[in-house]
Amino acid sequence: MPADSLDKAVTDEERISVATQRQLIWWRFRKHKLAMCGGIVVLLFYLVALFGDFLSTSDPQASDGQRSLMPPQSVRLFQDGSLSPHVYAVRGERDPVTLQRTYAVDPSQRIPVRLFGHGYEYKFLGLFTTDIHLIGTEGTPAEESLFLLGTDQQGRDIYSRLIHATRTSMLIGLTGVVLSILLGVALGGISGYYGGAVDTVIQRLIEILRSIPVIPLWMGLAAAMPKDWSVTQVYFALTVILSVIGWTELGRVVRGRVMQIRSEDFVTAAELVGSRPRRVIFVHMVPLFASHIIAATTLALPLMIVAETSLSFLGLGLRPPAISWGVMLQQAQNVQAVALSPWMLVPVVPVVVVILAFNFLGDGLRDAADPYDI
Amino acid sequence: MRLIPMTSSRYLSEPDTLGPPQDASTLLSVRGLKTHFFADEGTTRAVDGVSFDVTAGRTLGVVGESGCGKSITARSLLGIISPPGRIVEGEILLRREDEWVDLAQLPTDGPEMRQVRGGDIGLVFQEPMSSFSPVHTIGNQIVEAVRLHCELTKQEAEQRALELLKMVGIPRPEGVLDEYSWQLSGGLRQRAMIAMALAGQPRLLIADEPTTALDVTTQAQILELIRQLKRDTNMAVMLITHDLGVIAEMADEVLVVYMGRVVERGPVEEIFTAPRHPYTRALLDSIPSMQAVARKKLPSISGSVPHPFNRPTGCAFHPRCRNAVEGVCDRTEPDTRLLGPDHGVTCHLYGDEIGKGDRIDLPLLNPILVQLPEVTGGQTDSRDENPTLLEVRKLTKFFPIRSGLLGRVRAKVRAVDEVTFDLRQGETLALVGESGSGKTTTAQSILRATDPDSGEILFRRPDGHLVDLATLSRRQMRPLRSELQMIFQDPHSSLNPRMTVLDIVAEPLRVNGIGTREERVDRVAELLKLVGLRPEYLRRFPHAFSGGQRQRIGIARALALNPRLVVADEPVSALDVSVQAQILNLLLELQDELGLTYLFVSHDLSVVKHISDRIAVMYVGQVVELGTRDEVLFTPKHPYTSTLLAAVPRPDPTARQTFTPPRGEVADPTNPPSGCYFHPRCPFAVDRCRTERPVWQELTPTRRVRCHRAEELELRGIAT
Repeated sequence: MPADSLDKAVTDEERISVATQRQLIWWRFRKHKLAMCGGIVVLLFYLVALFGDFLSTSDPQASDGQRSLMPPQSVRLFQDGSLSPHVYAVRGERDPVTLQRTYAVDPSQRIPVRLFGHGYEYKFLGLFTTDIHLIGTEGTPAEESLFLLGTDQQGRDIYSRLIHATRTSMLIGLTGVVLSILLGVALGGISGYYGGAVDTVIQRLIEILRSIPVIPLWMGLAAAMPKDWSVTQVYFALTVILSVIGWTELGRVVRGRVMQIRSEDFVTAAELVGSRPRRVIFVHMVPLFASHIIAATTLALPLMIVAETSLSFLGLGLRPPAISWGVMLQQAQNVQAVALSPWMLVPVVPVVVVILAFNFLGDGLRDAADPYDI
Repeated sequence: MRLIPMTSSRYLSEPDTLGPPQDASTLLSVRGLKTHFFADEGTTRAVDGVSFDVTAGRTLGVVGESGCGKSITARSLLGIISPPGRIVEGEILLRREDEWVDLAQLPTDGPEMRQVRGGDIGLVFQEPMSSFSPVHTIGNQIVEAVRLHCELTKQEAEQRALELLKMVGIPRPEGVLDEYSWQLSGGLRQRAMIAMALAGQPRLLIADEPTTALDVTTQAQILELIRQLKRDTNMAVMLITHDLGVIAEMADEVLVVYMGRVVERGPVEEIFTAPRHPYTRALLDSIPSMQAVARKKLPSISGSVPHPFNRPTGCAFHPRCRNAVEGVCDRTEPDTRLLGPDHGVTCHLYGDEIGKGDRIDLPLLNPILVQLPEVTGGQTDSRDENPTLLEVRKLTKFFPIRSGLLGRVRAKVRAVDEVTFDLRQGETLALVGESGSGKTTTAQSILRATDPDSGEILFRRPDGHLVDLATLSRRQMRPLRSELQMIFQDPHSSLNPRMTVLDIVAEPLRVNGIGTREERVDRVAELLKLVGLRPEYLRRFPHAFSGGQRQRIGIARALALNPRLVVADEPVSALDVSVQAQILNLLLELQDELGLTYLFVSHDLSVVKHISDRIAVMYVGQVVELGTRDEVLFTPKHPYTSTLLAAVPRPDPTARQTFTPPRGEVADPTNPPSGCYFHPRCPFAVDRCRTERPVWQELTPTRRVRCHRAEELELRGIAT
């Protein structure tokens, strides 16, 4: 073996020897193509959630009966051979027989579309007020002229609403899961480490929680929520409700892992040098299954998103004026919407995409999570 | 000595230059077998050009450290290599009547290969627990194996299964047929496993570490069984083991493998009396043999088997070899030379470039065949005058077995039953016994990792007064923790895989609030040097270390707080023999340097013999014999001690065991026999032993024994 390649082998070995757990996981995760794709998609969704106002074109609450149920518009990029994106104005009429609104394109009236145009005012990341959007129109406000994915019954722009719904739906998953993890790790860890009566009480609690039929419970809680609560309060309450049920599974997994690690010699070693239980649990034991928690989290997030979507769809979760994928789909509940305005169903696409992405990501993380052969 | 070039040997030449072996008794001929594992990180050449023949009615012993490819070789023969591994080259010729079948060419999942597995070749694994399905009865599984290979009706197959169980010496075989594997003891399970391997009447039995998981007395029984089966059926046996003692007891020919290659092969007598390869010699040297002198450093092989990715250039053994010649051994791979009709060695010392193998002196350092040291009667040692550090009085720990809805205590496991002994400062007391004898529970109770039920554990503080550890609460125990430390058996489970070496070794200092962060780093570096590790390893994680190095880290952690008593629970039983010697030497050095007191728990009398000053032998929770090392080893007073001593396989093929292995199994600690617990297995039992419990009598001030006939019996110690 030539000297330089020998050197390389030595440095490789050294690199692996001193690699932290996170590095080893990353090295292995990178090889998992599908999981990497999933990770990128998830990241994109969170970016959308973060920059929702900037990405949307219209104020998601601006409604106008004159523009209800407009089909998606196409943006024309060229005019007379030169790049000049624009849309045509749309004129609506009501059919006197069917009373259905029909829309006709008016090619004589061009509305230019440009990047970083002006629109409604919002606070960018909560820092400063601006009205710059990624896509804007000139001349007329975007609310009246730009409908990339059509409009709903109240004439609100579905594209902008979808962007805002992404924020709600992605974050409700996140907060719900964070709460579940805190509850699950704490109660599961205590249950597994101490055993005995503590364990029995916590395990019975988990069994009771899991035996409650979920939908009636949610209905009851939805009914119990005061009508005068603001959208934010309802949102928070829903998160808590979801996590109160959601922690039980993680709690059991953590308990099992703690009981298993409890019998390892290094735990005895830590106790024999005088470490206190809190240190043994959180310094010696939790890092061992932190990877499992991460994987469990990524697999739990889509469940939370689906749960929120289904609850809102049933009218038990978020209510208008809040915007979430579920709330949007609730408006597409009737056959008329599906038959005549199929674009109302567009929130299904992000739900499917994000759940697949999360599942791929979670699988990849789980495979990468145990880089040691112990 | 005659040097025969490699090409003239039928074992060692290129596979394509030969036809099938001419020898009529050759059953299986492996030529140039290579089994590699293909992973993203690189290719592991687990088996890299192994050639050997197996002859009917003979036992081929395969020996080498772990990770040398012994098991993969056996698995290759049967086509049970799991992906990403596969056979990339070589022939595995099996004799079928008058023709030869190349097993390497057969599809691994085809009907022909299935016929070979169990039909031509039977396999016995190391771990009998996982070799049986826990949800089918032993009978069902053996009947199925029988019917796969013989056309028999169900009744006939059951009859055959019964015969097989009788053949392997299982008592009341009718009952065992209907039992599940977990209802059997380890020894019986291994017998049942052998019965199943024999179901298809194989001509070759491959036994992969068949006795490694078993106690020494059970091991002796199983080895005797394999010998007897070989005699009765004329089958060939391929015995894979890391234990040279077992090889010496069993093998006719020996194959020494290192990093996937055969480094030496020859008849067992020649391998043990005139080993040629430095690796063979080093392995033999590092056995803590029964004849070794107490407290003397064992020769050991430096380092450990490298990871196959980092295979050294040239001869793979050269970095660890005492006789390596620079410029030759590290450059080119050695050829195999024949030094006798059946004795081949792959080493440059016998090659053309150096060719002085027969001239250079490679002394066997271990006095295997050297005379015994004189047995001195009442051995006096300065340690005898030291004050006691620990006085254990009637220590008792029973584990309740609960059952039923209300969790009523149905029975009690008598794990530790009135154990009494003293430990003087600076000495090593060994607790010896088979599994289930309560030695580990005793050790854990002393450290209060388990809470004892009753008895006293008097520990002398530095100021001279005694505290009873048994009555302290966990909180009161905490300040004493630094004086009592433990070394664990399993180097893999004893280090937290998520912490660096620095964090692991500094943990005791940290939780006890000793020093600043910088001071702790210095102290850890110092400790690493003390246990023979480079201080540069501070930032590494445990996964980067071999078993022996991990054990050193564990020792460094135990020493961090300057303990006075160190409890070592089987500290070398999970290690290879070469590494075992390194760790034992380290423990001895540390004891001299730091004045440590050891309580050394082990099942292996040959290890204990090497390191201990006094020995306590335990059986079913009781200490049955206690005395100085020489007293216990050379003039045992309890028949159980004598049995244990006789059962240890000796690394000397000229002195094969002539004794009958002890009958039966270790008594059930939930329901021990009446009278003396050992009487059902004791060859000297009389009526009194069956009815009356023997007392813990004092023979001499240093000597205690629990036997009715201690005064009258003349028992065999270490065979002289």
